[in-house]
Amino acid sequence: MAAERKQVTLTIDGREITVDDGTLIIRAAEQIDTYIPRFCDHPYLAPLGACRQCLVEVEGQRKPLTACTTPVGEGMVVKTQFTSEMASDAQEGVLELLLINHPLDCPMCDKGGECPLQDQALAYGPGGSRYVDPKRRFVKPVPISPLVYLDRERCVLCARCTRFANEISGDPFIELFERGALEQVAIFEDEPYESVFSGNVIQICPVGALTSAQFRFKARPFDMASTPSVCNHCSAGCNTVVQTRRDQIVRVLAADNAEVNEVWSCDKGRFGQAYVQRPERVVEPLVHKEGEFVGVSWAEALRVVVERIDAVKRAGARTAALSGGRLADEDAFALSRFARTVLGTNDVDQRMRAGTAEEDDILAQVAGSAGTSYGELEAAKAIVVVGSDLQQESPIVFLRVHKAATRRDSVVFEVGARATTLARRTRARSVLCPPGTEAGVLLGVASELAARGLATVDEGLRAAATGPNATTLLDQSRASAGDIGSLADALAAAGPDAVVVCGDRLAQSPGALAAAWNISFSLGTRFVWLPRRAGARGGLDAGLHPRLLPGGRRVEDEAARAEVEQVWGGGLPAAPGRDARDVLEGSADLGLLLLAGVDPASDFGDATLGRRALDRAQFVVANDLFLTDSSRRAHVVLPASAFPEREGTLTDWEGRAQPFAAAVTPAGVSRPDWEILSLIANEVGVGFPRKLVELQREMNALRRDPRERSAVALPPPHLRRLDEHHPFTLLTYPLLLDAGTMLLGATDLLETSEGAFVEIGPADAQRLGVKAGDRLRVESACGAVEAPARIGMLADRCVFVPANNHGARGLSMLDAGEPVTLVTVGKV
Amino acid sequence: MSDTATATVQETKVVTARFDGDGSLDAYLASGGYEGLRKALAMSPADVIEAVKTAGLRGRGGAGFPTGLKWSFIPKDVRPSYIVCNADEGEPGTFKDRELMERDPHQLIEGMAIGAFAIGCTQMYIYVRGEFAHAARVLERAAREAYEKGYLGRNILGSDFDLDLIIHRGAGAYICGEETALLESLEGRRGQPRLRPPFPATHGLYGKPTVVNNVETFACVPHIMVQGPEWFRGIGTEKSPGTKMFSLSGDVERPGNYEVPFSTTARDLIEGLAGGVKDGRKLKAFTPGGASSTPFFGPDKLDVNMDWESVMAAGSLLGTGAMIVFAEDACMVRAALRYTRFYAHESCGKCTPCREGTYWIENTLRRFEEGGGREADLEIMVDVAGNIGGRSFCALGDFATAPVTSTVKLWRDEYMAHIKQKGCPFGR
Repeated sequence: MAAERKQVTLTIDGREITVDDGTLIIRAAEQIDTYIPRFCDHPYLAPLGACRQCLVEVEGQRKPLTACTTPVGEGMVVKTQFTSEMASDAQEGVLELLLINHPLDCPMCDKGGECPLQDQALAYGPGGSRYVDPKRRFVKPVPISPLVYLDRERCVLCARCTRFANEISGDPFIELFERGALEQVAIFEDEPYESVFSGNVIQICPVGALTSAQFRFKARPFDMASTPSVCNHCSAGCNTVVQTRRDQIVRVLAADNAEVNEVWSCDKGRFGQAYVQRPERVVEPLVHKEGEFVGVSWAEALRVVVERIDAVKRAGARTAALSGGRLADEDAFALSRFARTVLGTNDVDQRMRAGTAEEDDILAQVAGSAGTSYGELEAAKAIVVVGSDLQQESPIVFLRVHKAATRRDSVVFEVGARATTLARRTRARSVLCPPGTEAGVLLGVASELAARGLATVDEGLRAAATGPNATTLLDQSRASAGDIGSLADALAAAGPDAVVVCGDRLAQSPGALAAAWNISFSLGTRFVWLPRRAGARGGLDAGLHPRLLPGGRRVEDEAARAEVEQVWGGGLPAAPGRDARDVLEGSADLGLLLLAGVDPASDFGDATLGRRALDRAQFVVANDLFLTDSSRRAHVVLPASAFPEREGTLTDWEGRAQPFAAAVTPAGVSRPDWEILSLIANEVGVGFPRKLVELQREMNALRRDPRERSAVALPPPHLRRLDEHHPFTLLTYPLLLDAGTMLLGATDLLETSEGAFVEIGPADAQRLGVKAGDRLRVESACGAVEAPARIGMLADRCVFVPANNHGARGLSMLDAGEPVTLVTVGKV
Repeated sequence: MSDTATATVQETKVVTARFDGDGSLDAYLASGGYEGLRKALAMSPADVIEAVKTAGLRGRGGAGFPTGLKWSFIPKDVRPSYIVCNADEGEPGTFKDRELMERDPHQLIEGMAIGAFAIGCTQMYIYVRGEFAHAARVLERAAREAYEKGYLGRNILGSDFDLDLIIHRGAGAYICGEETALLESLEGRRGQPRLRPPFPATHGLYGKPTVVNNVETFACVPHIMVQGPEWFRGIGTEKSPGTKMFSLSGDVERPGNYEVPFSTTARDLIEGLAGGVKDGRKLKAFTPGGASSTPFFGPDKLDVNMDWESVMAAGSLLGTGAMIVFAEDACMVRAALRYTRFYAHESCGKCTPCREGTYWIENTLRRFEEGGGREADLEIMVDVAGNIGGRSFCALGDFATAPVTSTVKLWRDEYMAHIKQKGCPFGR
C-alpha cells in the first residue's frame, strides 16, 4: 500500500539494527527486545516526552534524550540504561522524583502487581528515599464518572488519559488542571466526563491513579485467570481478555490486536458482562405445564421437543426458526442447518424487521465475501456513512473513522436524519435528511456523479437518478445542492479509495441501500455492510436468511443448493422462505416456532406484533439465557450458555472470524445453542454434527471464493407523505447503553446511559415553542412516548426517540408494515 | 531616567530615546517614527532580512539568537505565516519590555511591521503578560491610532501590503514566555511547551511558519532601517552589537532601566548608573541576567563586560539583562528559596524533573530557613538539581537549578550558619 520506506541503520547498546526512517528510538529498541522504561509513551498516542523516564544517551549529544520522542538517524549510536551510566543515572533520577510524592500504597492499590511504576521501582529503585519532607496530599478517590475513580496522589501526570480523550475518542472534559506540583487530572465542574470509551483510560493508566468502580478491591492480577475472548456486544470484534477469580468474571480488558480494536474497547464491552452471572439466568430446561414453568431434565425437555417435531412433521404443519443476530458462528450455522434439515423450512431469519428485495440482493453478495478491513477503512480517502450512528452502534468502527478523519485527513460524510457524534468530534459533514429520503440524497449524488461525466456510473443507477420521482425525493430530503455536490466531489476525488459504510438498519429506508450499493459498485469503492449485532455477519454467512443458504448461496439456485446438499444431505427445501415479519404475521399456522437468542416480543420493530405472534403460535421453543418477554411465552425454554461460558467463533463486520475460549463454568446445565440443536436433531434422527470441530468442518466446506460484484435493481422511489395530522417522521435506533437484556445487572454502566429523551431540531423546537427539558409527547398510530426534550442537529420535521431506553421506547411506536413512521410531536 | 550628573558612565539611548514623550502617534511621527517602515517597504523583503543580518541584531529575550537568521528560516511558499511578539515579560527582575510598551508603543509596532514585511506575513500578534494591564491598554490605543492613520490595515503607507495586529493578554503563567508554550496559549490551549522539532519557524502558530521575537528586539529594528546596519554594528562589541537595556533592581540607590552599549561593565551599571549599593553597604552578589539559568556573581565579577560572550565566559548568562543586586546583609539561602519558590510555582507540571524537583528543593530550602536544615541536604539539593538540569522538557527546568547550585557553591557558609543557628542568621 505505502511506498517502500527509507531504511536507517543504527546501533543500540552495540547491536546493529535497521528500521524504517522516522521510527522512534523506543520502538526501534523494542524490535530487538530492549525495553526502555516509560510511562507517558504509548504506541497509539502521539509522542509527548513528559515523564522523562526513557532518557537514553545518544553519542554526540551533550544531554540524554527521550527515546519516546527522538526519531532514529543513520549511524546513530544509542546507549540505553544497560550500557550507559548517563542513561541509567538519568532514569534513576527521574524514578526518584516520580516517587517523592507517590503514596507508595501498593499493598492496597488495584494496580499492584501490574504496575509499571512498581515494577520499575522494584527493578531499579533504591531501597529507601532521600526525600524527608511532606508529600503532596489530595482528597481521594474522586469519582470522575460512575465508572472511573481518580486518585491524584498516585498520578504520575503522564497525560495518557487526557491524550486518549483528546486524540483517540475525541471526548472532551477530562483535562490537566493547575500547574507545577499541583498539576492534576480533573473534570470540569459544570461539564461531566461523558464517554462511551472511559474504561480505556483505566487500562492505559500506568499507575493506580484511575481505577474501575467495578473492579476496585476485587482481585489481584496474580489471583485471576485470564482467557482470551472476543466481545459479543456488537459486531466490532474487539479482542478482549476475560479475567476471572473463583469462576466469577471480575474484569474484562481490551486485548491488543492492531488489525481490529488496536488496544481499545468501549464501556459496554468492558463493563457490560454482569448479565452472564446473574441469578435470573435460566439454569435448567423449563417446560410449561398447567400455566407455569416447571424445571425438568434435559432428557425430559428433549423428549417434549422431539415429540412435537415428529407431530408437526406428521401433520405437515409449518415451522420457522428465528434468531436475533446474537449467536456465535457455530450456533448460527447449526440453526441454519437445523431449520433446513430438521424442520425442513427456509422460514429462517435473524432480522427483527421486514426484509426487502434490494436488501436480499445485496446480502447475497455480502455473505461470505472478503469484505473491508479496519485498516482499509482507516486508509480511505473518503468515507461516507449512511444509516449508522457509529459511536452508538459500532463504537470501535467510530474510533477508526475518527482516526482516519483526524490523523489521516480522510474526508468524512454522514447521511441521515441526525447529526451524530462523528460530526461533532471530527470535521465530518452531516447531510441531514428525514428518514425515508436517504435514497433521494444518494440518487442526487449519483446524478451529480453522472453529470460529471463519470462514465462508469451504472446505467440502472443513472436512469433511476434522473427519474422524476428521484428528483421529488431529493426535494423532500431538503439536502442542499452544496452538500450533494461536495459529497459527489469527495467520492469522485477518492474513486476506488472511498469507502461507503451502510448500517444494517438502512434497509428500512426504501431504495437507500440499493442506491448506496450501486454508487459504490459504479465507482469501484469498498462497501461496508455494518450490522449492529455481534453475530449478524456470521449469521448471514451461515444462511440465517429465508432466501440464502451458507455463503450467500441463493435458496432457489439449484447448483448452489446442491453444493450445500453435498455437506448437509439432500432434500433441502427449494422455495424461498418467509422473512421474520411474515413468519410472525402468520404465526397462527406455525406448528413449531424455534427462537434462538432472540426476543421478538421486545425487539421486533413493531409495537405489538412480536407479542401477538408468540401468543398465537401453537408451540414455541426458546433457547435463551433469561426468561424474556418472548421466552416467557414459550412452551419449552432450553437454557443456553452465554459467550464466556463456552468456546466458539465470532465473525465481525469485516468478515473476520475470531475464535474465543470459555472463561467460566456454564450456568446450571446450560449448553451452547449449537449443542442444543445437535442434541434435538440427533434425537429426531437426522444426522447432525455432534462435535464443534465437525460443525466447523462443515462450515469450512461451505465457504466460497470471492465473487464479482454486480449492481442491484433499484426499487421505485418511495415518496414521503407527511400530512397535517402527522407532520413529523420518526427516527429510532438503539443507543449503546439501553434497556437491552445483555446490560442486565450493569447498574454502574447504565448510570452513564443517556436515559429517557426525545430529540428535535432547533427550527422545530422554535416552531413548537419547546426548550430543552420540556416534556414532549410523540405519538404514532401505534403508540406514544413522553419524555424530556433535547434539541439536537436533526433534519426538519424529524424526531429522534431511542429505540429501547428506559422511559423512551421508540420501538413502541413502529408498525412493521410501514417503512416510514409518521408521528405528531407536542408539548405535554 | 538616570541622573547622569553623578555617574561617570552615560546611557546610549536608542530604543529608550523617546521615553520622555507621551507615546502618541503624533509625537512618534514628529521624532521620525515609521520612517524605518517606509524605508523597508521601498526595499525587497530579502534586502530587509539582509540588513537585519548585517546589523548583527541578536534576540533580546535571553538566548541572543541572530534575528535576521531566524527571519530567513521562514519558508517562502507556506502561507499564512505569522509574527508574534513575545511580550510575556515574566523573568524575575526584568521590566524593560514593560517600559518599552508603555512609553513607546509605536516603536514596537513599527519594528514588527518591518518584520512582517520581511517574512511576507499579514497577521501579527502581541502576547502581553496578563498582569500588564496598562501596557496592554497603551498598545491597544496605539494600534487604534495606527489603523486610523494607515500604518496598519489595508494598503499600509500606500503600498499593496496589508497588515493586521491582535493584542492578546496572557493569563499569568511564566511558562508562556517560552515560545512554544506561548503559541499554545495564543491558540487557546493550556500553556505548556511543545515538542521540538518541528520548530516555530516551520510549525508555529496554528501549525504555520511563525517568527517569535522579544519586544526589545523588535524595538531595535526601525533604528537599524533608518540609521543603517553599519551604524548599529558600530555600537557594542563585535559579537554583541548594539545597545541593551539593563533592568537594575534590589539593593541599589537608583533602580531602573538603563540602556547602554554592550561594551559596558557590570561595575559601570551598578556603581555608575544605578548609584552603587544602597546606603553605602558592600556588594555581596548580583545576577547578570535575571534569574533563569544565571548563576549568581560575587563582587569579583564586577568588571565583567556585559555582553553575551563575556558573561558566559565568566560562568553565567546574560539572559534578559536583569541585574538584581544583593547587599552584604542579604541572606543568600532566602534568595535561593525565593527563586526556587518562583520556579516551583511557575513550573507548568508537564515533565517530571521540573515539576517534582523544584517542589523537592523548595521544601528543603524552606526547612533551612525554618531551622531544620541538615548538611546532607546540601549534597542532595545539588544532586536533585542535577536530575532536573538537562533532563527536563524545556529550559525552565534548567533555569530553576542555577540559584541553588550557585548559592551552595559560593555561600556554603551561610547554609552552614543556618544549620548551626537553627534558623536564618540574618534575622528579619
